[in-house]
Amino acid sequence: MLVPPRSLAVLRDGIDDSQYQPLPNCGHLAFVTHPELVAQMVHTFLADEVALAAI
Amino acid sequence: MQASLMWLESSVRISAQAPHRLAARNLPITPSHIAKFGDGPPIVLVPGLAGGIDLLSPLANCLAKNFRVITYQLRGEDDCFALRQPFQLSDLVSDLAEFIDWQCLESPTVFGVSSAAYWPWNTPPVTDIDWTALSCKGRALALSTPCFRRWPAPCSTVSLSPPIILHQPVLQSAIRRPAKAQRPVSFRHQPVLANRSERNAHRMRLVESFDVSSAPASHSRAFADPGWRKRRARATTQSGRLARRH
Repeated sequence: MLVPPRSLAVLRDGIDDSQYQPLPNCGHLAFVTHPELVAQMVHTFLADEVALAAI
Repeated sequence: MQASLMWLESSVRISAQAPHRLAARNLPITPSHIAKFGDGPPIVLVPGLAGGIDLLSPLANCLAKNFRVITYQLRGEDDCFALRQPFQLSDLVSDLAEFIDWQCLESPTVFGVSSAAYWPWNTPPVTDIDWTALSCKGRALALSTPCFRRWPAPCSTVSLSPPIILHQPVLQSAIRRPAKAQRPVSFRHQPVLANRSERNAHRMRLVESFDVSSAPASHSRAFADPGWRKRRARATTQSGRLARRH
């Protein structure tokens, strides 16, 4: 999803319990260029409900 | 370049080692391939358009350490003939719901990247049932990336790439919103234009890159009179015939 930062703020404010996680120096394909970082964020977000071992 | 090499190497390695990758021929929908990695709580990775599941290989590798990652190819990615039959975003959402049912996943985490992150917001209201069923089964995550309005900036200058985490109530409320991108073209705001050339320029989206007023006379005349080029070609042909006769 490509949205301007202003629209991103609208999405963030309109979604309850949402998290805003900036990834420095990443482009649109952050899941390709920085897969470990994205996986770490997903794991951290899901760790509160799913018992997972730390990466 | 480094990212491309990393993605290529990872894709080749996964394609060679993934034993569970198989064709989903029994489905009436068209996710022609699925891929499974790792073991643990299920998480469904939904690729974006024009990306494919191979683009998700690096992330799937990392998530596979703690999750059972399941991803599938969107319709039209591998089968170009599928594009002959137009499909909409609602069809992709239905494919996802059907895929989850087919995989017997009770409460998977759904992680959409790129354009797939927009599905909950862009789904027409007619697919309420799909998203409600989907959201009841698990939770959905979306990875989005901001960009500048005109064009995506180079990677070195984009500083944000936040994932937006969508919970079930949000999904259910989001699907009730009218889908902005699904509006028919006729609903778009049309500026009041003076003449046919301006209207044609707007219709062909030439306004931003092409100034009609400063265009050559032939272009302006073609905008104003669509049949002008045909008449000119006919006249040129006739004059050529006359010249050859003489």
